[in-house]
Amino acid sequence: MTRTNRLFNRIFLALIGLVLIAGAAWIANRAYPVLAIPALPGQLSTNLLWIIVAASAAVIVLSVAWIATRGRGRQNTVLYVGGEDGTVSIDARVASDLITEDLSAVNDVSSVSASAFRVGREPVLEVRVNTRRGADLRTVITSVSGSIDELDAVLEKRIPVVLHVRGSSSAARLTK
Amino acid sequence: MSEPKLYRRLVRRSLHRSRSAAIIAALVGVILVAAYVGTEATLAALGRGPLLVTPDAVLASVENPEQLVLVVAAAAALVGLSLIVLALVPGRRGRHHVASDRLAVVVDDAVLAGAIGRVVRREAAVAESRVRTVVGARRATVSVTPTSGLPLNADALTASATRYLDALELSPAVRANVSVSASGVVGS
Repeated sequence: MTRTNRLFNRIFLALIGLVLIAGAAWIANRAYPVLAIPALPGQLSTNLLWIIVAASAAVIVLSVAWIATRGRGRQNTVLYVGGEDGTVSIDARVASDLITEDLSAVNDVSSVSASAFRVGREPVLEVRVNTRRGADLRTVITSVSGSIDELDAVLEKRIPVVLHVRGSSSAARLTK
Repeated sequence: MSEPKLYRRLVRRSLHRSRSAAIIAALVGVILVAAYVGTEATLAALGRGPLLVTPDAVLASVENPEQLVLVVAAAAALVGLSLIVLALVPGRRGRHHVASDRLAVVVDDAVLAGAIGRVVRREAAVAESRVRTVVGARRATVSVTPTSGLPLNADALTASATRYLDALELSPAVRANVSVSASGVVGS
């Protein structure tokens, strides 16, 4: 889970798709004329060629920037408190250790991991619990919920938590 | 952002794909095409020979398309269409949201299938290998093979699976349907 703006991902996908279809339609219209569209220039002037070079460079830079900014917002720190006497930061691992301990009594849980990410300014804790087949969901959720209540009491703050209950690991699925 | 609102947003994001992989693949294609176009345009502007074709030749073949150009155009249209489909369809992941007071809970459909299968298996008192569960967006289909001579009541099994699912308060809601195969097998 990240801060990636998903609406713009979809808008750009649609835009690229539309440009491709528009190009194809232009060519198809030349082969089987339906619309009277103006002809392209027979020869490109040097100025026009340099404009094309600049436009290509701009498209490349923007595309690389867009790719590089996917998936941002992950961090290790769940809570950061600054005060006069210094600062305190809580790592996501504290949460995962606590939850692992509480879940050790629950059957069919194979592993627990936790990470943090930001939504706007707020840190959110993401807990992933890997389970074996047939694990009882309510028991797992109640146990994690209890651990988070403990965490709330210690931190004196309610951190938003996403719990993702997963099936057997992808490695196990591959070998099946 | 208030907690319920934030949780709704987090769950929604978890249940759907971000389309990051699709946009990255599409943009890599765009980058390659732009790099090639830029290179050919630079060579033409400097009056050098082309790598493959000059921009003028490209324009001429677009205005007067041959078979090969039409095939390329058709391929481009197909790719364009699939990108638009990717942009518009919801991109659901195989997951469901489970109600909880404190957490935003998201569960893989495989986990859900395992949990429902366990409920049905206990109720029917058969071995794990005799129960098959498939969980889709709105339906959980369980098929049970009974032991010969020990008939099972499909309605009763469906009722207990439904009770389990109702308690989870899934969203999107899932309806259970248990079917018992006509022929049983001997032993466990």
